[in-house]
Amino acid sequence: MNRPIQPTYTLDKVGEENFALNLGPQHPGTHGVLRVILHMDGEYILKADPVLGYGHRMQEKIAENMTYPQTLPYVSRMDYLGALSYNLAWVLAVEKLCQFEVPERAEVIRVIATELNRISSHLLWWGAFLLDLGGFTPFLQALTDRERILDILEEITGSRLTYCYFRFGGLPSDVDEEWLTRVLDFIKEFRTRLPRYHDLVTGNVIFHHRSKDVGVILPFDAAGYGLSGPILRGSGIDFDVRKHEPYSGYDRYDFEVPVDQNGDCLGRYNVRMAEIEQSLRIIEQAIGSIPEGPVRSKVPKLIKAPEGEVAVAVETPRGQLVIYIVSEGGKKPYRVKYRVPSFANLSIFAKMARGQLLADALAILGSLDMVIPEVDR
Amino acid sequence: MATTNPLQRALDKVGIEYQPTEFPNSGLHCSLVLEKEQIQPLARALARGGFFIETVTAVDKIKDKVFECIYLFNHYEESLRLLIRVSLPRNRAVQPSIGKIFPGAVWHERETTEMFGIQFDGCPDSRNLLLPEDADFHPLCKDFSGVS
Amino acid sequence: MNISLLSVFGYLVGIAALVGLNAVILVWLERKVAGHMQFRLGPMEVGPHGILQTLADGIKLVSKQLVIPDEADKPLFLLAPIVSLVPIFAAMVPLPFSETVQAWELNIGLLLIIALGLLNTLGILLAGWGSNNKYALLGGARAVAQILAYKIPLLICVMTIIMMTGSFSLRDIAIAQKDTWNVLYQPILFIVYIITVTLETNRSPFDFSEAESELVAGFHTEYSGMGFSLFFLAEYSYMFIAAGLATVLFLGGWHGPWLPGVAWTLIKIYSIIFLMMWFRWTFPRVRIDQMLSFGWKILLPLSLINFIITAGVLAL
Repeated sequence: MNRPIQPTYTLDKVGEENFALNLGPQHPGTHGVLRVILHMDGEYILKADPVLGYGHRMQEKIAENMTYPQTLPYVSRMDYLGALSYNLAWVLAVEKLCQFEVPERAEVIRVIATELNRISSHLLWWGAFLLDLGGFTPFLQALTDRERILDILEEITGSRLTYCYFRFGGLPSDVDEEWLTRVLDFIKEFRTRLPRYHDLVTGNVIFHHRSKDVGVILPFDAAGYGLSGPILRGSGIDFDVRKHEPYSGYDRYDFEVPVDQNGDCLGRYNVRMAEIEQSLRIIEQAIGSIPEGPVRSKVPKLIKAPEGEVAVAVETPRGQLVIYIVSEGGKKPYRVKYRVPSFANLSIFAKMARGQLLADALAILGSLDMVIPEVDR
Repeated sequence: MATTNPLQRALDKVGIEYQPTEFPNSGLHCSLVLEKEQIQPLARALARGGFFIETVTAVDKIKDKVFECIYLFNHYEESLRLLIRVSLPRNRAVQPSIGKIFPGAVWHERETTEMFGIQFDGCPDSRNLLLPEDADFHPLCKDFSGVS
Repeated sequence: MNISLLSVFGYLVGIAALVGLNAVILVWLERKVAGHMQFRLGPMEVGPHGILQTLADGIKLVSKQLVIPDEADKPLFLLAPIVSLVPIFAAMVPLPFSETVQAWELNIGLLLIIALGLLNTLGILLAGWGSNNKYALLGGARAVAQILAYKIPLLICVMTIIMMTGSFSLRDIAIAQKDTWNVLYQPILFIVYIITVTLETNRSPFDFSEAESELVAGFHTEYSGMGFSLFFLAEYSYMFIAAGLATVLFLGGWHGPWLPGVAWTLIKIYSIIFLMMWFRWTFPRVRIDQMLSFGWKILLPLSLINFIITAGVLAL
């Protein structure tokens, strides 16, 4: 059905004193190809209008034409920094749909790998956030540690970034004792390096001035926009999918969900730094309690799902991911919906950027920690 | 009254019956089939009850010649996932918008409009979100085979 | 008269060589300092420890196409890097490197250097306007706001030193510090001076006019190849001049035990430049309105109070 084509992004009616600035698809400060049309009065933003779709790949249509195992590599390409969480979500969704069992050892190793991925994603966010604020050094320091995590994960998954490690029913292969020892060594070493990050950045006066009381999100807005993740927890609402609807054995581990009451960029920063520490705790507990056993249960070679629908939620480093599958029987799903966290988190940016300075708007964009290919799917 | 959860309370306010589903099997706590007029009052009750919007999307049931507009809501304090299904005729799919009640739904509705062609009546913004601004095709419909 | 003119000419050639050599050294030094502060090695490929890196960069930049945007104001666009660069040669003239090495002894040398420092900002503004690019315009406007807020504390700083010495001539100021350096009398003033000078040369944490993550490249967004490299030549040379002024005003000029005067001047200048580089790689960027309020509300009163106290102490 045809709708009249509306001229969507015209820049007229701006007024004589104001101008329109294109925070273009190519910009060092937007994390990915995001275009925001800013109407500005000097340095102040009057109106911000995000334009999406530069990375749109029709993942949902592709999933309708592929069988369930064939979609596995596609899912991790959406959020390449937190790929294991997406991988886990897809695997859990299909397992729920087809009622596959997962052995306990596989669940524990899944948790270890996903938490390592979360730490590496937060480290990269830390470096990129500081890069947006103008400090060049933290980025390189974070990448040094991140390389160690990437090396550890490469040993078991074979990839450095877009992991496709989990399979339906468990894992493709087991991990050995040496790998677990290496993870523990990494944790011990990383704990000695984490205070260094805090020394460099967290106490810095300039950093405080740039991030305190900047970009405050009120808890009242959160439910209306559907926010989730560290952004929501930075505003004081205690919502973490790992505690809300535990999956893959997360209810066995003892960890806290860090919450900050301020709702500004500094609050979100503190939440993410605390989450790194909590992830280290979870990994230690998981390694301490890993049972022996198989890592993959018997799953038919050709996966034919029964009719029905299923929704699975997972906590990615950015927030709550929901995968909703509608199946009418057969090898391919009828409809797949990926509800990505950055989509909702970006929708509040237009409201927050109004009245801010350009420098602050970019600090806010950095603290929202978005991955644009995930928004565009 | 003592053991009702926020979902039951919100549904009671608009007079809809609470139909629980098996959560471990499907990931949904409640799945409802509603008419399109019931959506806006229910959305207001849910917003007041502390629910947040997860997504607004659609499923193209081409064999039955309907679009099923799907809403997913959840609650921050208790795990209560609500799925609402509204059937709309395929050749003239118009649905009242909840964009003024849940501001985040505007983007979800924009995406559903451009992907399926469902019009959301009263949505503050209905331009294309992910597709180019002059796209007039609807990719996620089952009879879409490509842009020539 | 003939001999002194010849010597001035010789000095000018020497200054040109110094500017070039300084740029070569500073580009390499910056990258090495940045590297080591970030747990990596910096350039290592070209030449031993990457010493010839600047040569390679220079060849690359010279061979790039000079792209002039279509609707840019062509005369302004091409003039801007030149306006930034040329006053440097004049500003280096009164700078004393030792008791005998100085291009020309001007009795208002200090005032000349500060006045010529303003032309750097003029170049940035011309670049910002002439590029026909909103990002460049924002960068240029920020640079002008910055300089307005910072020239005054800088001038008050300098006036305090002049008051202590009694002369505008840089040579006299350096000679007066034979026994004790001025920094021991005026430590706060030294800190204020370092801050204002970091601002004047657009270095981090005050590099908003070229803020990479906000304004794509600020005032030099549209410049490529040689235009870009001229701006950076200007920036490094102004760092040298500012550090040179700091050495003469506060750190005793060329005075020091057993090494020749020129060596001490250069050591002191490069220490201050190293300090400015250290700032760049440690701190994130300050926001422009915070910087302006810092300048008008803190630096200006601080330098004024210091001036009044110094005047009082000297009168007694």
